[in-house]
Amino acid sequence: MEVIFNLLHGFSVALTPVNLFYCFVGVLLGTLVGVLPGVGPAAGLALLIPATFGMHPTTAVIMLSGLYYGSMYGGSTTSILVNIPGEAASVVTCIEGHQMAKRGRAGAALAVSAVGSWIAGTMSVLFLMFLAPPLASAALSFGPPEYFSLMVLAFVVLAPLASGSATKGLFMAAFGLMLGCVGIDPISGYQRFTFGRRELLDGIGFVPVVMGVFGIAEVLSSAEKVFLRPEVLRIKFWDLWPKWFEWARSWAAMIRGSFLGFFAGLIPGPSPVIASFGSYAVEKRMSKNQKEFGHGAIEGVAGPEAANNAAVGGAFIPLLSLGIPFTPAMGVLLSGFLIQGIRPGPMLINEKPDLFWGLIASMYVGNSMLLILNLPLVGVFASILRVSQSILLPLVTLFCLIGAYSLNNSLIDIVIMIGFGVFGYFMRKADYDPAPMILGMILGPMMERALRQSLIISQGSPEIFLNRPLSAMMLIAALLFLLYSAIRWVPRHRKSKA
Amino acid sequence: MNSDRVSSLSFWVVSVAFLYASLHMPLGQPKEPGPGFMPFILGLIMVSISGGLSLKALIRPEVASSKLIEKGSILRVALLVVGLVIYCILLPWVGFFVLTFLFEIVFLKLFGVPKWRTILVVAIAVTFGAILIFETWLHVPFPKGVWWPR
Repeated sequence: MEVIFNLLHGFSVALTPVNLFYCFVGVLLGTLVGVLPGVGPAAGLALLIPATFGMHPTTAVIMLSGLYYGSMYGGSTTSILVNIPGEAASVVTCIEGHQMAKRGRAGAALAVSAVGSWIAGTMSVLFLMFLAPPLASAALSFGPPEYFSLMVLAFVVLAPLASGSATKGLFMAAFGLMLGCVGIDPISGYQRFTFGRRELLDGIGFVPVVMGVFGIAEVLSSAEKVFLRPEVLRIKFWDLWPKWFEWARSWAAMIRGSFLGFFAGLIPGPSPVIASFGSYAVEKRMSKNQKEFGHGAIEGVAGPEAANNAAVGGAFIPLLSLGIPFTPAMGVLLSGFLIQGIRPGPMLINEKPDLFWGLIASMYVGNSMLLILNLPLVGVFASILRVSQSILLPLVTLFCLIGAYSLNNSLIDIVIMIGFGVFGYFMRKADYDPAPMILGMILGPMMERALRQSLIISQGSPEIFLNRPLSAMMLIAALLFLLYSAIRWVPRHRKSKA
Repeated sequence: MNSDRVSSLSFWVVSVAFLYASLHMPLGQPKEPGPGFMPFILGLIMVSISGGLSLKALIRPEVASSKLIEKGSILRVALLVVGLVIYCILLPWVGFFVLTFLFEIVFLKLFGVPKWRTILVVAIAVTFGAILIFETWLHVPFPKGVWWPR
């Protein structure tokens, strides 16, 4: 009962004209970010952050979150119509979606992915609404040792899920944590790695690094290719209604995708991507029409598209109830919160009920807006794809420059962005995934505080991490996970040698 | 040059530098860890992982998905980076509006837009759009350049 009362209160916040308007702006920009190849949700969020400076915190959070879940909708449009994924979580949609489009069923594929996204989005908000508050109250008993062990576990799980090898992922995580140490040490006031530069006292700005690694680096990689004007299939409004048997084949896939995606969202790492690939594998195995897979099986669109949306809903849980982001985009969202003076975590739901429940309610509203944006108006977004990449990329670059400058109205953020853009470009070529580094940067200060506070509590004995049952469990899980990756690694390499 | 070797060796050098720098920070007592504690531990982890990666790359280099520097395209990428750096240097002097216009022309050309008319139209539209959105609506105080009357 209490949940319903809270939710009604949330709707009274979300439905004010200002919040409604910015929710719309958020999901609209999110759809654009999803449609455009090259700009992912993390870079999109980073670019939008300066625009939130003058806003009320609740409004800002509603708009930023709208961009994140909105981006999962747009990606499928590009996958289906052009066979290029709009963002990483829609890679798998290309397989069946574009085949369907070639057979003249593009409309049905778009409709099924929009409806699947809506069902999954709504279901995951429902889960989020019921799971986040109890988890937050459980997390109230977390002390520094538990937080430290949780973050260790997160990095160990994240590293092998990132692209490239697990070892490279672990290195990037440690490197990111080290970058997080730059600046004044918050406990002792000592300057670390600043080389006496005033600009580095506050540390390396997290948001310009995200813009560099996910924005500029992407532009540089695209500059290598020769641009061909993509062939965008045209669709008529009446084609958007799937046939009866197509619905019948899709709905179960959507439900399965929603559950799978939501729980995948709780794992640290690129959860929407994992969720969509996982759902595709499940659908392929379970389908009665296995022969159709690879030639446009509608389950292979409905399931993954539902899963990646549900994963975004799931990914909000660690951020809102523990205050720990598990994906780079959630890290940017966390900085959006912090800029507004809000620290997400176990206290958030009780201290700022307006914000928490307003955000939840806005997600129901936003998902429904997205359904309308992505069904009747899908042609409008598809027409953006007809604009040449060679015009879009300079525009993206300009947005990055303006975005980085307007963070603090200073040049140093542009310099950081360009530097990390070049760095990210080479890292990608050498198969190092930037995601663990980004998370390391944002979690670094939290992890360090947790570690040092734990040792102060225990008077210098590291046993504190093993004496507390929850902390010990998480560390043991991390150790087992490391051993498992190592064991899997050895035979594979023996084989490759032979 | 093998990208696996280059990347892991340069990361190893960077890691050693970080570890060396962290040795100069107060490490503190186990009871009360100082500011150098976390960087020291991280430095050790980084040096050992990147050292391992370097050894592996020297003995048996992995075939990375792409070469670090590709001959055909590196020129365009390098020009883009140079363009960005020049933008940075000139921004306080030339000012945001004029520079954005010039920057768009150069970048559109670099990205291979064929017609000059398209380039000019897009550059003008983007510049005025940027002024409207960021200066008028969002009040970002851009540098105006040295010739702007204060």
